[in-house]
Amino acid sequence: MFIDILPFKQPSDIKDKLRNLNWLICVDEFSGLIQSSFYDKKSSIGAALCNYWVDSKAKGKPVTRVRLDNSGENKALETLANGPQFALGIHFEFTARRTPQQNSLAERGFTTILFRAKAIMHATYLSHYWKYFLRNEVFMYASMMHGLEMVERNGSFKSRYEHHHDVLPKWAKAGNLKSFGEAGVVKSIQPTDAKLNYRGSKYMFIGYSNKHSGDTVRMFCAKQKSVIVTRDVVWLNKMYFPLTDQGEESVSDDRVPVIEDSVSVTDDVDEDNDVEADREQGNSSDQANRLSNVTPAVVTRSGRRVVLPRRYRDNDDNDVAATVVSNYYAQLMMHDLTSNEVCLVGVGIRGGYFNTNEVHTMTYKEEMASDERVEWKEAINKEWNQLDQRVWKYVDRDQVPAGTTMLDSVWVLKKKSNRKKKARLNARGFKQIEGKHYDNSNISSPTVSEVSIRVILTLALMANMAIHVVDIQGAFLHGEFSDDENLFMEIPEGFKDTCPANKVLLLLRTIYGLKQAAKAFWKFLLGLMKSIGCRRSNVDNCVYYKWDESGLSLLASWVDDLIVAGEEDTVSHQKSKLKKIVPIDDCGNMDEYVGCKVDIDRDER
Amino acid sequence: MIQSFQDEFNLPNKIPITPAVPNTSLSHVGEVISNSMMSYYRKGVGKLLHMCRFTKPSIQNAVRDLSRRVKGATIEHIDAMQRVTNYCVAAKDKGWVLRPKRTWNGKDKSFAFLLDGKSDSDYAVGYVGYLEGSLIVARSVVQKRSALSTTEVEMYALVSCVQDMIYLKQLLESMGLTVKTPIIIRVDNKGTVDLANGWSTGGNLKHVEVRQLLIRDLREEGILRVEWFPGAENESDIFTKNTTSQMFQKHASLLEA
Repeated sequence: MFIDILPFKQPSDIKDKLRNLNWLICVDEFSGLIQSSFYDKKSSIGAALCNYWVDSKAKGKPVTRVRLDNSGENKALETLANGPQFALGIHFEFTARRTPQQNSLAERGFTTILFRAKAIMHATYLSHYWKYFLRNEVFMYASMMHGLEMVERNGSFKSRYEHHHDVLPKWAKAGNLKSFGEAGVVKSIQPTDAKLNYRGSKYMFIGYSNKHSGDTVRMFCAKQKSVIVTRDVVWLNKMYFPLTDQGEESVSDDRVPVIEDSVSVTDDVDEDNDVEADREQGNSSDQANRLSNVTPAVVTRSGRRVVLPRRYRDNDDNDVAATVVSNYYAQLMMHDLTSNEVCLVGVGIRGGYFNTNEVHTMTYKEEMASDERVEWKEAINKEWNQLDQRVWKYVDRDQVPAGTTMLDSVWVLKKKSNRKKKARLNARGFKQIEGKHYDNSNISSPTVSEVSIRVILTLALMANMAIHVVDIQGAFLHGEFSDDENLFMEIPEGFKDTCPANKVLLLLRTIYGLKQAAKAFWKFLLGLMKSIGCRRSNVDNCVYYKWDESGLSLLASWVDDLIVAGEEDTVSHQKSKLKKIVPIDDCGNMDEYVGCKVDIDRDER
Repeated sequence: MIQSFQDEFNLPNKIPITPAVPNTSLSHVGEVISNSMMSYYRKGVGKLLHMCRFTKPSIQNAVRDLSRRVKGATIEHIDAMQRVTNYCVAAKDKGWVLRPKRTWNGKDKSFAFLLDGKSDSDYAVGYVGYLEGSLIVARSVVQKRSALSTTEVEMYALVSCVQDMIYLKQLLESMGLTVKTPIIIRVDNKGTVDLANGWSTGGNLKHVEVRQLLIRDLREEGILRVEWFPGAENESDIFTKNTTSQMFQKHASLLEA
């Protein structure tokens, strides 16, 4: 048995007088079972240990060798244990001076329990004060949980308790296990109390009682700073200290969570090398070192670095190393009990998305495997209904001329920042053959110059015009092919079963992804502008204007987003004319364009 | 986009007043960063390029300097990119402001629209263009060819500015509007003004080609006039170099609000 003592002093920043504890740790060499106990004075340890050894001797498991430091109180312990009172006949081994490694099991036991205790304190949102106030309870709990770990000794695989004591402690049953810091209501009403008194008050779970039946727990009340031992608890399935009330004193050091451990998620060898390379890079110069230190980034499979947003980084207490431990720890002790709150450290989804990284495109396969597949399927069906029969027609496979290259397509699924889910069928345009499927001069289309946008806005401001934005729905689906371009496409993913067999699609309109789609849409737009009576500017190909009795009205197109500026009546008139020809989304007054927020302050003008 | 800067980039905690370190420019020597850092860098520069085109003219010079190294950037470039990004996040409520000084009834075709521009040059060529006092063009570009003297560089800056002013004039005229001529372009280099307004060839500028003749022709036609004005009032200054913070704030406050 390895034994050591760790004294705990009163922390200078806590004003209340706390007990100065001596933390005694006894580690069994065979099972690795760590037993913690706490004493006010070092001198009182001797009698307690001797009694324990007498007990274990009576159980037929005598302690034969003890290793401890070569200190005065330990010498006294030897004389007491082998003296006339107990006469245990234990062999005492003392470590050499300045050689703590000879007592390694005890020294490492401290570290193990201390770090787990830190993780528990973190997961239960204890404030600085309560961390110190409850330290011995947390250490005790952590030691108990450590004893439950399964280890293999002499070919048998069981918990440390079972290796040491042959039996599990009474409390170690699935139904009794609770996580530290859980809230529960303890019944406190007495038969003599007034009828309308509260029947109980909220307490925090801090451990099990060894001396009672298995379902007896120790509950702590922060208000009264009292501990009661009871089995009369109604569990609230939440933590005693809520996350918002943690009242942590801010830690001002520049400690930054290092997520190196969780990088191991990437199992691709190349990726790992890349990470290694980054790390080496980091050591190469001071600047680089600083950079890699302040980058709490996870490298994803594609090599993208996902950085914790700054608003979550300010609180340096989000120690991810601790999170990893506590997650593991939570799994360990919560076999069939569930309380997700322990696992969710530092993670919370607030208004909108947690991170802009969530708003990205996904493929059909990814989504059909995800939890949101029903919603995605809905979005896909909606888009399909917009396309089917209008954009293509079904053709028998036999009618396709021999030697034709068949195109295929993919679904691109995107979460938009307004939380809508958008599905879009994209042809794989890179399979198109130049000269046969498209003309090389038709693969780009003009958009409005940013200078022209500002000229239009300035003119509109000067004349106090209304400025509206209109979005053309399914823009590219309006584009038409030249006469000699016949494109055949396979039936898209997800609809192969529902569509008639042995058919392919003959495209009637330029769907997204085709090389000529942008240009074809622009041509369509020119026709559209002509039909509502606008003329194209000779200088910017995407600026259109119209003079009438109410003055100038202007339009500009950034792909499918149109700016419409002019007198209030003219604008609504033109929008209604557009609406007759194509389906449009009327976004109303301009507040956003090409990804920029636009504020119009008409008074300041 | 500001949100994505915050979420996807590792921003330093110190908030800068200027987008780049004053009186410096990025050196192009040093150890090249790894591929994954490179894509991080390119992503940032791409976002900034969009930003300086539409909403933040004041970062143009810093971004121009960054965008010259989309291959082989060094750790210095990463720091500089993060500084610009951080500047944008810190000043997220400020953007390109259009503030026309006069009003127009929206019907009068003979209303003479006022165009004016300013150009400057230092490490790069920078110029601004106004329509009725509302900022329309603000650019920072690397000059296309090397010059032998400052007067010559200023000349190139002036020519770039003239190109955009002519584009503006044509755009307005194509919509049936009238532009007041001559368009006045102001330069803070006396030599350039004299060069643009005279017909002299020879001396140290005898190698300068047709580009300047364009300006001379336009002046003869009465479309354009070049004037001198003190350099301290030239807001295109911030498009040519990383100015001091006082200078930057003074000029940027005219462009953004």
